[in-house]
Amino acid sequence: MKSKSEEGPLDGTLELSTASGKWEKHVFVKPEKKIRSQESLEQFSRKKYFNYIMIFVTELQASVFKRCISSTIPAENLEPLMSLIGSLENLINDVPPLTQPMRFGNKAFKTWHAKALEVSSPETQKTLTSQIFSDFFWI
Amino acid sequence: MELVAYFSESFGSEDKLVYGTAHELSFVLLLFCLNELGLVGRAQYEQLVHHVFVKYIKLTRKLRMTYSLEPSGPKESWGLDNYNFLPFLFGGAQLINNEITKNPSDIHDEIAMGKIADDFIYLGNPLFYPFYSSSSVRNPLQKKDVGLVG
Repeated sequence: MKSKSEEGPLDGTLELSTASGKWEKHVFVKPEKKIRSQESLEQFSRKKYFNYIMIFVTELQASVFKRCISSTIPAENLEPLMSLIGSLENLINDVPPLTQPMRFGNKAFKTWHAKALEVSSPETQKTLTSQIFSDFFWI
Repeated sequence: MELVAYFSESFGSEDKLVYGTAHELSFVLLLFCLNELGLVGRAQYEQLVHHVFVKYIKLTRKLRMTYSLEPSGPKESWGLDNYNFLPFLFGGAQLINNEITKNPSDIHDEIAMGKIADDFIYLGNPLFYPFYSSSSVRNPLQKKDVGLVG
């Protein structure tokens, strides 16, 4: 399996604190793709969070051991996220693929992606944070 | 904002018009952040997988089919799927010691599988469709979960 610490926009300079209530001090930065050569401090952060992420994925997996989908009761606070994904799916109907030679991907995807960000940007802040967590307005 | 960046990367590359496990990872990082921020809790992990993640995968499959997104990166080393990895991880977990799929070869019994397909992530994987099956990946369930995360 590809090493997950080398992929994706994980920013090694984040100083996250997992204790709640410490988020005010955190400076949220836009993640950038980091190349492999890093300061040792950043490498340590990435290793630490790499482990946290692996634990998270493992726990997600454990939560569905021997469970079937229909036995899972929907969670109310995940509703906004669900409907956001649903609206992205509906967006596909608004952006049909262009007629072009089918060798590579269809460029209409760029249009879809731009619209998806448009549709979700103000909403993302709202839906992901949800009313229950209005303290996190700075996200 | 950070969350939006992960969100933005979750659906494929608009430059290269591809989709791959890196995008899947980006979505999981988004979920991870929500977890770290305390916006979702352990009690909701099951819903995160069964509802949110499943819905996400359905969306990405539709995107791939509609816009003909190619797989990004080299061919998947597990020989499972060029686009996704986690549906196999989560899907395998659901099926542990499952009555219906006792023998790994039962996976290919279309009638039996068809009845329960909606309930199990694994059965929704393209691997499962008749025109995708190939002898080299005949019984992936046997490889399931053993060091798959590592």
